Amino acid sequence: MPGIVQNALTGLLAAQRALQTTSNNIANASTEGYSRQRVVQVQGPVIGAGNLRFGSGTQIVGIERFYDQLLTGQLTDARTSASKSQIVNQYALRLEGYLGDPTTGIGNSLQAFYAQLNNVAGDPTSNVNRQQLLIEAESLAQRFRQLGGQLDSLENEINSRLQSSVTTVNEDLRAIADLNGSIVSAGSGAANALFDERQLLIDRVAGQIDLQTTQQPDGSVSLMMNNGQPLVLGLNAFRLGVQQDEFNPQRLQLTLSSDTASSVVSRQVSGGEIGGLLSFRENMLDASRRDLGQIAIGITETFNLQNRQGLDLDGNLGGDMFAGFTPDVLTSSQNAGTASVAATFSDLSEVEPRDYKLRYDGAVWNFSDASGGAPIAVTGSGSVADPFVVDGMEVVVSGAPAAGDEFRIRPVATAANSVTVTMLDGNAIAAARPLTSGPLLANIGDATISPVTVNDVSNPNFLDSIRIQFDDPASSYQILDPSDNPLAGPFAYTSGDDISFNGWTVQIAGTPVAGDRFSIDATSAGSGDNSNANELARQFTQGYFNGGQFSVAELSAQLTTSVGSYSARSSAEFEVQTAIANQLELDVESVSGVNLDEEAANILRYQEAYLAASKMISVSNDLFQSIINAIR
Amino acid sequence: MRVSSRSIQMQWLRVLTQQQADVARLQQQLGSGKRVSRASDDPVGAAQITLFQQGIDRLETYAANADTAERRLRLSESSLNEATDVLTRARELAVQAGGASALAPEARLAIANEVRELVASMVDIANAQDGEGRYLYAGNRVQTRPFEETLGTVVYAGDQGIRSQRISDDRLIQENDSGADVFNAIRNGNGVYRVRTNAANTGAMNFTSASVVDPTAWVPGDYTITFTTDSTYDIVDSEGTAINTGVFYSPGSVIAFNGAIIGFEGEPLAGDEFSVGSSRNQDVFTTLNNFASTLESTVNDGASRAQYQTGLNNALLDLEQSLNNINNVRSDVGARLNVIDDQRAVNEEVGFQLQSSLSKIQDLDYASAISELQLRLVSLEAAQQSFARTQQTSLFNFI
Repeated sequence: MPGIVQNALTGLLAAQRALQTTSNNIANASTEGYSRQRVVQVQGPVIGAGNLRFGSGTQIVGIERFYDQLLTGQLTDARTSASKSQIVNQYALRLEGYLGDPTTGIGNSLQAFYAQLNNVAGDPTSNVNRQQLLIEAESLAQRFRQLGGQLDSLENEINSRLQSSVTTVNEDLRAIADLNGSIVSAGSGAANALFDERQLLIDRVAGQIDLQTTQQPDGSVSLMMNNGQPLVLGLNAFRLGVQQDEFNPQRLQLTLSSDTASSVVSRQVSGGEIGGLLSFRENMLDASRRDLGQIAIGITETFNLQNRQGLDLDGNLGGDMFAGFTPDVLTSSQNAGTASVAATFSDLSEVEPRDYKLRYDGAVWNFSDASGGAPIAVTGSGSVADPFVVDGMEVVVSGAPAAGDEFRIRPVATAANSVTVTMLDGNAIAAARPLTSGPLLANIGDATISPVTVNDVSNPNFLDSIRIQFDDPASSYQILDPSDNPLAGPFAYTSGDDISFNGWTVQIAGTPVAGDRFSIDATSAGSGDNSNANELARQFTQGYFNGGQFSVAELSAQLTTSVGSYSARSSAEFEVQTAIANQLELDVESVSGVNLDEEAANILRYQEAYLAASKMISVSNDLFQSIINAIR
Repeated sequence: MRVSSRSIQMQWLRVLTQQQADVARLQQQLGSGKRVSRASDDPVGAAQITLFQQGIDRLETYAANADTAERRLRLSESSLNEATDVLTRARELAVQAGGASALAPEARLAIANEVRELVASMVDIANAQDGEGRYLYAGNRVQTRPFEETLGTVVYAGDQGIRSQRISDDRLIQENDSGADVFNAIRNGNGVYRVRTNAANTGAMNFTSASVVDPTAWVPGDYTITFTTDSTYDIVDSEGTAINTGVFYSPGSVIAFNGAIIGFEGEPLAGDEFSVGSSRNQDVFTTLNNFASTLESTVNDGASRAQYQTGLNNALLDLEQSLNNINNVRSDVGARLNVIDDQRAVNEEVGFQLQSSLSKIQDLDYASAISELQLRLVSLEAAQQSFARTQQTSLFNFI
């Protein structure tokens, strides 16, 4: 009879423990990271001898935690990818908002600028039109600078996000190492809650940076980045950090340091929020900045070039409306030598939207693509007399370099930030053709002269008045100044042939008579001529870059596409990665999660067991009472 | 498969969020009427939209340019009409003045006064403005009054510049004609040569007609016809080289050389000279002023009558040339107006095509969007209802 009570008591206790575990499961049904638990119940030891061996009830040997290491590892990976694609998508949408929308991008300002340019062509003598064009130019320049500034603020935001990510990751890594310590020292008796807590922290780190986890036999886990850089080894946590980029102090790079060493790992990070930020910065932000810069250069430079071909309202040859550009040269803070690099543009139409890496290997300077690393061929030796010439730039190196010294040249990356209108007076817009040609009224023949084509406004005599006079017989002509002093000739006359002089070209066609004259004179100040304004107005759609292959209009459409497709790709990637992570989360939940119906059933089960065990005690009591009564 | 209570909640939440996001996207599309509202909605389409939109903007600019050019050309056209009226009136007066019966000096002076008035009108016409303060016929010196009369001659202060407006990607339309081309560069005489009577002539002969029968035979240059007797003449060029000699038979006869045939009337005397020279440019004001001066000259003998007739005949020829020139310019202007009309029609067609291509890419198909929205709303509602339903079921309700 004591055996009955004893057995019943073990059952009672076991049911109680089981109910306790169930209540814990119910209480933690929605706790993040909680893995459901159950009691591990086994039979009590057998007692008695011979053929009479009885069980001695039941016993609880442990509380088990439901946990699938493989699934959890996969979920960790999926979280890394999902949070990377999420942050990339978030920034891609922001960038798209700046550059991909026709109303907030440069489209509207550009349209207003060219529409006003057209008004100038409609009435070049109107000061109002000219002044308004300057205002539109200023707002276009502002738009470029604003966009450049918005890209800068994305860069700054990425910097501060990196900093805060680094702080939380470091705290989590430290906590994981500490938990490793607690788990190892508790040995096999370590509480399930510690494992859950550690896994929760690992998942959080995995959201920030790519991770591989290795379970150690002693219960601790080691964390490494995908490329093998250790983050946590047993009780040791490594520290992430940020430091200024060696070339660009505005940019922070990620570092990883132990107690003894520290290195930049920006390029090694492949996942998580940090990986996403770095990947967006490298692949999209920099590329968009370059594309935008190239468009800024295209719009301003094509205008300047054409404006220089014309004559302004004051009768002077046109100058520039927009300030020129210089390539941005960045020097590595690690350089040991004293070399410096100066770059200037020689032909903006050849400029490529990429950054250049310039490295001295101890003997020669090597040019390569800063992001891809592909070598770039250059001509020249880098001296002032014979500069390196590459993609429309001239690069001069001076001073004494040390082997391994590096420079970056960014021809277009900062161009949008420096678009400036330098023209102050609308009269300086060169709407007119600089030279006006015509036959003299005294001419007898019917020959006509074409408008003047400009070849070279830098010719010192470009604006000189010139007379072309036909000899007797009129099969040849001479070039005279207005006082009839011969300057050149005689030349044989062929109807329609080019006549070039002083940097311009005209054609005379028809049958001249001896003594017929044609005049070429500087267009007067205040001219209503709009020939050059008409040319200015079409620069946007004229091929300019890459040997006249691409117009600025095409480039700006390309920028829309590249920003849009990057954003579309990142959205799709985000959806896919999130779906994968969600599915894995469900899978993990199906192993570790609490099902309340199941727990309700367990309550009933354990309640019944408890009731039954109680009944056994009561039965045992009854039996005992029966015997007592029988004896009494 | 075992499902945890938390994951049931999570899954429902995801479903509902997704459905709501879809509904929101459709609502946004319906609200804006655009299928592509950001570049990522259709990256390639977005680039096309940008280019199409730029094309449409350009066409709008061209339409505005065409309007500007048309306005200026129409102003030009109407002032040229006025110029034609003036010249036609002058020609009538020239015919009147040269009638068979000699006009009394007072009548000639009256006509002369009218011609002087016509000169003033012509100067006004030539100084016409475009309503924006710009002179129509100053070439590109649009702010300079192009024709100023000083001491009886009208001097041109404009230049020979012409301007164009762009009315399509590759078409410029000339919007002005310089005053030099319209009023100044007019060949006098018959357009090939003109005949003058030497002021010292004593005979009463003057030319009546000047024609060219063989343009290829005409050699540009200046020639002098000198009557060696009252019936023979020599023709020499400006170098003194003899070109022709001949016998002049009777009044009404002609002298022909180098493809030119000149009719004469009246009796020449030995020593009389006529000069025949290549036509020069003579502005319309000089033509009118010469005509007036002729009318104002004294006619008292055969020689002065011959001078008077020469002047009248030249005035008629010169006026004819001026009329021709202005009519030519006017028909050029008309042709340009036609070109503008044609181009405008083409631009509108292109614009329509661009608009419809743009709309195909950018605009929303309302029918399908609305039916999709309805579908989404139905499934959202279904999801919400079944979520609420499943939340009610729990074993705990029964124990």
